[in-house]
Amino acid sequence: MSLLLEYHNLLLKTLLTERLNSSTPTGIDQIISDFDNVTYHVSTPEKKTQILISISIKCFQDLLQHGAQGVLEREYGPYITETEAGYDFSLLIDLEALPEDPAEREDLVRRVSLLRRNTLAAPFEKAINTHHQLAEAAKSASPESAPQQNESEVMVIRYRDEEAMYIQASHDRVTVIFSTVFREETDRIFGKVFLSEFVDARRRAIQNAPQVLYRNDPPLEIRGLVDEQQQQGQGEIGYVTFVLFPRHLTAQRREENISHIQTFRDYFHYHIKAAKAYMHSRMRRRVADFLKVLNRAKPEVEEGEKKERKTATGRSFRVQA
Amino acid sequence: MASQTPAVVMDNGTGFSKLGFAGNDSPSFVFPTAIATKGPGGGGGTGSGRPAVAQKPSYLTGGAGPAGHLSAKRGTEDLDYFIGDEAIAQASGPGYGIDYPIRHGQVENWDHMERFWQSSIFKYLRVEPEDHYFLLTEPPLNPPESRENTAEIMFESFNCAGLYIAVQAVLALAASWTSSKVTDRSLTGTVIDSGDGVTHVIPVAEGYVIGSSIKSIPIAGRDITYFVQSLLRDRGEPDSSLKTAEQIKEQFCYVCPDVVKEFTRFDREPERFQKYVVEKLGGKQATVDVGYEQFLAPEIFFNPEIYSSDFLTPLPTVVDQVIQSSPIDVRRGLYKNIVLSGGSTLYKDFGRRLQRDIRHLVENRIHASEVRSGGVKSGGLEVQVITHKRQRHGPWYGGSLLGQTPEFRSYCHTKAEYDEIGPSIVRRFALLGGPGT
Amino acid sequence: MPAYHSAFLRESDVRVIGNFSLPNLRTRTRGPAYTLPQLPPNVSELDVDPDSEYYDILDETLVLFRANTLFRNFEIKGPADRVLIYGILWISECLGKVKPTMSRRDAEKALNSAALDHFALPGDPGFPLNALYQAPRDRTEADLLRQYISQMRQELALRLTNRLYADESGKPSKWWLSFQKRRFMGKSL
Repeated sequence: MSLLLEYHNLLLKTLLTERLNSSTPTGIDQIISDFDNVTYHVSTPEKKTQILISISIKCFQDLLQHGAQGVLEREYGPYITETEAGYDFSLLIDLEALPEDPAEREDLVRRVSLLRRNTLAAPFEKAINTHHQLAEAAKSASPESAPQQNESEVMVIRYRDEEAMYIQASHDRVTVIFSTVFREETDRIFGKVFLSEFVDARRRAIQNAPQVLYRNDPPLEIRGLVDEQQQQGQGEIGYVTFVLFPRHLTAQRREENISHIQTFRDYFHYHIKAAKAYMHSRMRRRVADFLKVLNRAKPEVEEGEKKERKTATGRSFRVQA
Repeated sequence: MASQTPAVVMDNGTGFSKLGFAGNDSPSFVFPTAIATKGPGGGGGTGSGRPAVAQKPSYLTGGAGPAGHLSAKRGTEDLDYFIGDEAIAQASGPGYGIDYPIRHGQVENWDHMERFWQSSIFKYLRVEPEDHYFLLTEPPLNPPESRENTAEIMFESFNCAGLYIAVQAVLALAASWTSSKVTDRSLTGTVIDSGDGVTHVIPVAEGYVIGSSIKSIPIAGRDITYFVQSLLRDRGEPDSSLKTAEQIKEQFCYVCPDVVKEFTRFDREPERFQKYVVEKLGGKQATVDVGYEQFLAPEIFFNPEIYSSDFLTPLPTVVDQVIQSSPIDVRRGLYKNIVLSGGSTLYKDFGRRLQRDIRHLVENRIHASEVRSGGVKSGGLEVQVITHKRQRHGPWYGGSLLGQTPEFRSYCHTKAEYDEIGPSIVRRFALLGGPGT
Repeated sequence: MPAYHSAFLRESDVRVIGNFSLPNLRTRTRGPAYTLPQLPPNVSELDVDPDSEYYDILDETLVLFRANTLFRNFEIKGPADRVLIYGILWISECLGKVKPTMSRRDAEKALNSAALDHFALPGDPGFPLNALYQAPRDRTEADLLRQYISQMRQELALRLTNRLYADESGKPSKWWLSFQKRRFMGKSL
C-alpha cells in the first residue's frame, strides 16, 4: 500500500547498496532530486573508490541556525568532508575503508539515504529538546506562579519559495505550522477536504492523534513573522497547525514523528494528486458508460436501405429492388 | 545546477520504463512497465476494460481506528497497487493481478498509466511534479489524442511545471551524437530500434519521422532467446530454461561475418566453445555447454529464415527498402546515419555486419544502374551504421542530453499555457535540438 | 545472405546425368568417379584448402552442412547444387543413425551398411526430390548414377565419422549430433 511516502531516498539507497556490495568500483556522476528542491549529487571525482555525496537544500541557512550542523555531525561524523561547490553539505564514502560488518554497512547506506530527513530534523529535535527543558522548568516551578518563560521563539524554515514551516516549543506542546499555497482551484478544494479529514480524525476514532487546525489567516503564534515576500506569489495561502503533545515527544516516538511531520507537505500533495487520479478513473469509467448508452441509441440501418426483412414468423427474406 | 531543478526524463516503453533526471548518463530506474492491482489481472477484472475503482476516496490510513468500519466506508483501494519489479513479485502471489498499460508502444489503459506515473514520480523519483519540467517519449505515429491524454494527466493530475513530448526515434538520433563518428549533429537518419518484442526501422528527416516508410520486423530480443533455447534443447543440455537461454544470449552472443567460416573456426579452435554454470534451486549446479548459438542466435536478424517460417526478409534488406521508399532528397542522409538503439542491437559487431550487408545491396544496385546507363560512373553512396555507448537506453539518453540544455525549458509547454489553451496545445512542439539551436 | 551454393557450379566439362552432375571425388572407394589425388600426410582431412587440387565437393558438403541445414529454402543454380543437396540430406540421414553412446567402430559399421543399403534414384517413386531432379534417360545412365551416388555415400559416411570422432573422447561430437533434427529444405532421404 502506498499510503505513506518513504523517508529515505530510494535511488540513493539503491545506488549505494549496489556500490557498497560490488567488488568492481565504477565511476558515478549522477544528479538525484528529492522533494522540496533538494538535489543530491553523487560522484566519484577523484577515485572510483571514493564516492562523494553532496546535498543542496534550499533552507540550509535556516537549518544551520537551528543546529543542523550538530545533528549532521552526530549522524555522519567521520564521513563529513569539504563541501562541494554549489552544494550545502558533502559526505565522502571510501569504498576501501568500509566497515567490515555487513549490518554496519547496511546501516551506513540507510543513514546516508536519510540525508534529507536528518538535515531537516534539526529544528524539530531542537524544539523537542526545548520542550523537555521547559517542561522540567514548569514542573519545578510552583503551580501558582507560572514560569516566566514557557515558550521558545518561533523557528522559521523557509523550505520552499513560497512556503515555510514554523516550529515553536512550549512546556506542554510543540506547535508546527505549515503555510501552504495552492495555485490550482481544484487542488485547493481537494486540499480542504483532505485537511478537514485531518481535523476530524481526532473526533472520530483516533483519539491520540495530534490536534490539527486549518485556517486561512496566519495563526496567533506566527503573526508578524510571516514573510511579506513569501506572500507575493499568487494563489491562496492556508495555514495548517499541528499540535504535538508530550505523548508524541517521548524518546521512543520522537524519531518516527519527526520523520512523519516533515514529509507532511509531500504526503499532502501526493494524496491530492492521487485523489485526482482516482477521480479521473471514475470520470473515464463514467464516459465509457455514457458512450455505451449513446451507442445503444444509434439508429439501426435505415429502413429503406435494408435489404433483408423479416416475416411475422421470424424468417428473413430479401427485398428485390 | 543546484539552482534549477533537473528535468525529469521518462521513457515508458512496452516492456520497460526508463526513468531519471536530465544530465545523467544513465536512467536512475529501469523496470518493467507493469502494474499490479487488487483482483485478477487484465484491466481490473471487469472484462469491459473498465477500471476497478474504490467506492470512495480517502486520505487517511485505512488501518487507523476500527479498521472494518473505516476502510469499508472510505477505502484506499486506489492506492493499493505496485509497479515495476515489485508488481511482478506481487503478481506471482495471490490477490494481485498484473497489467501492462502499454501495448505496442502505445498506452492502452490510461487509468493504470496514470497510477504508474504517480508511483514513478512520488515513490521512485521522489519529486514534486510542480517543481520539475518533464520530458516524455512517444512511439512514432502516436495518435495526437494519445498525446493529449498524456498532457491531461501530466498537467491536471500532477500539475507538472512544463512538458515536452519527444518521439523516441528522434531522441535515439540525438543519443548518437556521443559517437565520435558523428560530426554534424543532424536529426536526419535511420533508427533501428530493437527491443524485446519487435524491431522498428524508422527513417527520420530533420527531426520528423517519415511515417509512411516505417517498417517493423517481428524479430527481436525475445526471438533470439527462443532460438538459443531451441538450440540448447536440440543438444539436450541439462538446463534449457528461458532464463538460462537469456543469460547465454546476453553473455556470449555476437555477430559473425560469415556463418560457414565461423563453423570452421570453431572446428579449428575448440576453445571457442564455452561453458555456462547454472545455479539451481537447492544449491545444485548444472553446466551448460555454449556452442554455435553464440553466433547463430543474432544471425536470425540477417537470415530470419533459420528461425521463422513466415518472415524471411533480412534486416539489411528491410533497412534498404525503408530508405528506398523515403523521399529521394533525404536518402543520402538516411544511408549515412543509420543509428542503432535498444538492447537487441548490442551484440558485438552487429553494426559492422549491418553496414557491410547494406553497403553490398547499395553497391549492387549502383553497379546495375551503371551497366544499364552504359558506362556512366556513379559518385558512390556512403553507408554508415553508428554504434555508440548509450545504445541500450538510446531514447532515454537522448532525452537526458536534450533535457539538460539551457534552452530546453523554452521548448516545453508550461502549465500556464496548458490552462490557457487546453490539451490541444501538445499537438505541436517546436523541434528540440533541431537546426538553429 | 541465403543458403550457400556449391562452388563447383563454376566447373564446366563435368559429366551430367539428368540434371545431376558427377564431379571428381577424392576417394579410395571403387566407382565411376574420376579420382583426385589423396591428401598428403601433412594436410588434415578436416581442413582442406578449397583452392588445392585435393578439394572435392564432399569436403564442401561437409563444410556447408551445418549452415545450410538450417535453411528451408534453396534455389538450385545448377547440377552441382543437386549433388550438394543430396550430400547434405545424406549427412542428415547418417546423423540420425548415430547414437550419442556409440563407439567409433559401431558408428562406422552402422553408417557403412546404411551407405550400401538400397536407395532410390531420381525418378524412382521413393525419391523425395523428384520435382527438382530429372530421371536418368536410360538403363545405362541409371546404373552409372547409382554407382556414383553409392560411391559418394560411402565416402561421405567415412569422412563424417572422422569429423564426429575428431576429438579423442571416443564419443561422437554433440555439436554435430545437435543437427539431427534439422531438415534441409524440409526434406529427408
